[in-house]
Amino acid sequence: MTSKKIILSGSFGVGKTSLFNQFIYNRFSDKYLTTIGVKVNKKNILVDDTEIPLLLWDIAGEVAQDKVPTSYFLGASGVIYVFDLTRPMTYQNIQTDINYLKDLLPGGIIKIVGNKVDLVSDEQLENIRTSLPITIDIVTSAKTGQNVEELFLDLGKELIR
Amino acid sequence: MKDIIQHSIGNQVKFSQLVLLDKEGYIQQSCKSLFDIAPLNKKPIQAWVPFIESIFDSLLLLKEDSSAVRFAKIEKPASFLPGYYDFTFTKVKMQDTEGILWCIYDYTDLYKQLLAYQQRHNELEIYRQLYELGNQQIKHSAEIPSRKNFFEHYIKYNNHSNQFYTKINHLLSIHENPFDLFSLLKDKSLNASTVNVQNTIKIFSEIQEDYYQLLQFEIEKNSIPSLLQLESLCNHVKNITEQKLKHKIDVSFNYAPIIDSQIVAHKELIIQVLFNLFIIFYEQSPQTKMTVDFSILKNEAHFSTLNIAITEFSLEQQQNTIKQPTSLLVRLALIKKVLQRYNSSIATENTNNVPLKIFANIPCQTIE
Ligand SMILES: Nc1nc2c(ncn2[C@@H]2O[C@H](COP(=O)(O)OP(=O)(O)OP(=O)(O)O)[C@@H](O)[C@H]2O)c(=O)[nH]1
Ligand SMILES: [Mg+2]
Repeated sequence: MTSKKIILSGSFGVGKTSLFNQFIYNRFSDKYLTTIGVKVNKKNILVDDTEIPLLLWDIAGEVAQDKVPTSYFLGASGVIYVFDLTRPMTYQNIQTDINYLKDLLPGGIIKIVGNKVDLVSDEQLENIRTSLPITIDIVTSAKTGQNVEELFLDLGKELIR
Repeated sequence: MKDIIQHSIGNQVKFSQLVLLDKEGYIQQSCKSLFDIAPLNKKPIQAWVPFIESIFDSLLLLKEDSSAVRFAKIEKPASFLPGYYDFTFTKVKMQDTEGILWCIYDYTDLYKQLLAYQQRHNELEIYRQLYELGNQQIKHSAEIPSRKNFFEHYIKYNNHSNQFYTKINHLLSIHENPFDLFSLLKDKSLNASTVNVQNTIKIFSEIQEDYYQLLQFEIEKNSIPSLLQLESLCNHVKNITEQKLKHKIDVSFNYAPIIDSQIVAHKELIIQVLFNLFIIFYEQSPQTKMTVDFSILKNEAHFSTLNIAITEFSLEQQQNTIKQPTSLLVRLALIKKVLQRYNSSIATENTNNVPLKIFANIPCQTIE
C-alpha cells in the first residue's frame, strides 16, 4: 500500500507532538517544547492484514486553521484535529476550523480529537460534549497512552475503506 | 544542470543546496554544500527523507514551470539535515524527461531564535488562558496556575523577550540578505513582525495589570496595619518579594533622621514602589547589593535607589538607532500610570549611562 500523509493540527499546546511521540516512540514528557514548523516521521500500522505506512506531519499549533500554510496540506489524506479538553480557547472555533479543513481537503478524513482526558472528570467531559457544535471522534491522553493506538487504528480503517 | 542553477540564481534569492531529482526520486545532480550526495545514491531520496516521501506523488503532478511550492520551517528532515530548513520544489525539464528541483535553504540559526521566542509566547498565552479560567472559576481546567507560578512565569518571559530582541537585532545586522529575512519575519505564522512585537508589549501591560491585582490580594491577605513603621514595612515587602522571586535580595535601607516617627501614607503605593524597585533590581542589575534611601520631604515620602546599574539602558543609548522597547521601560511606564492616579510620581535619572537613579514620591503624613 502506498504511504498516507496525515497532518496533526490544532491550536498550540494541545498535545500534537505528545500524541506523535506517544504513537511513534511510546514516550511522553511533561515538558512543553513548542514545534516551530513541521516535523515528519513514519510508522506502519496493521489494519485487517493490510500494512499502511503513515507519514505523520506534526505541525506548529495555530489558533485558527486558516493560519496554517496551505502548502502543508499538499497530498494529505487526512487531518487529525486536536484540541485540549482543559482549555476552551482551543475548541471555541472548532466549527469554523473543521469547515475550513473540509473545504481544503474534499474527501479527506478529518478526525476530531479531545486530548488530555486524564485531566478532566467524566462530568466535565460530558459538559464539553454537550456544549460542542460537533461530535468528538475520540478522546485521548498522550500522557497515559489512553486511546492513542485506537485513534490511529480507526484512522487506518477509514483509509482502506 | 548549469542552466538550472543559473536559472535559479536569477529567480531565487539564496539557497544552501540545490538537488536535482529524477521522477523516481534518485539524485541526478547536486551542488554539494550542506551534505554529500554520494552515500545517498543507493536509494531514492524518499527513503532518506520522510518529508519528501510524504509529498513526492503530489510533486510529480506539479505543472512544469509553475512557481515553486515552498515549505517553511522543516525540523530535522533527515539525519544529514539536522537543523531547520525551508524547502522549495519545482518541476523542471531534463533532456527528454522531467525531474524535480529541490532547493534547500538553511535557516537553522534564525529559526532557533524564533523557536525560543515562540516557546515563551505560547507558554505565556497558555498560562493566561488557564489563569483566566481560574478567575472565572470555570471547572474545565485541571491545571490552574498558582499565583507564584504565574509570577515566575512572567519574570522568565520578560527576560527571554529581551534576549530575543537583542538576538534578532544581531541577526538583522549580520544576515547576508536582509530582504530575505525581512520577508520571513513578515510571515504570518512567525510572531515577530512589528505588530506582533507591539502585541507582546500589550500582553506585558495586561499581565502587569493582573499582577497588580495579585499584589492587592497579597496586601489584604497579610493585612498590614495602617499605622506602621517604615522599616518593618520595607522588610515585609522585601520578604514578599524574596518569596516570590525565590531569591534573596540584599537590600540596605538608609533612613533620613526624620524618620524616627511613623508615617501614614498610602500603604499600597509604598508597597508597589518598593516591590517594583526590588524586581527591577533583580531583573536588571548585575550587582548584588541594593541601597534604598528614604526621606520625608514636606508631605512626601521620598524613595530613591542608587545601585541599579542598568546595562540595557546604556545599550540603548549606544545604539540609539534601534529603539527597542525594554521591559524596564515598560515596567516603569506602568508603575508611573498607577502612581499618577494617587498624585504620586516615579522618575528616573540617568547620569552618564550608569548608575541609574530611580526615585519615587508618595504623599504622606508623619505622626510623632
Ligand atoms: N496531562 C496531560 N498533559 C499533556 C497531554 N498531552 C500533552 N500534554 C502536555 O501539554 C503540553 C503541550 O504538549 P505538546 O505536545 O508539546 O503540544 P503541541 O500541540 O505539540 O504544541 P505546539 O507544538 O506548540 O503546537 C506539554 O507540556 C505536554 O506534556 C495529555 O494527554 N495529558
Ligand atoms: Mg508540537
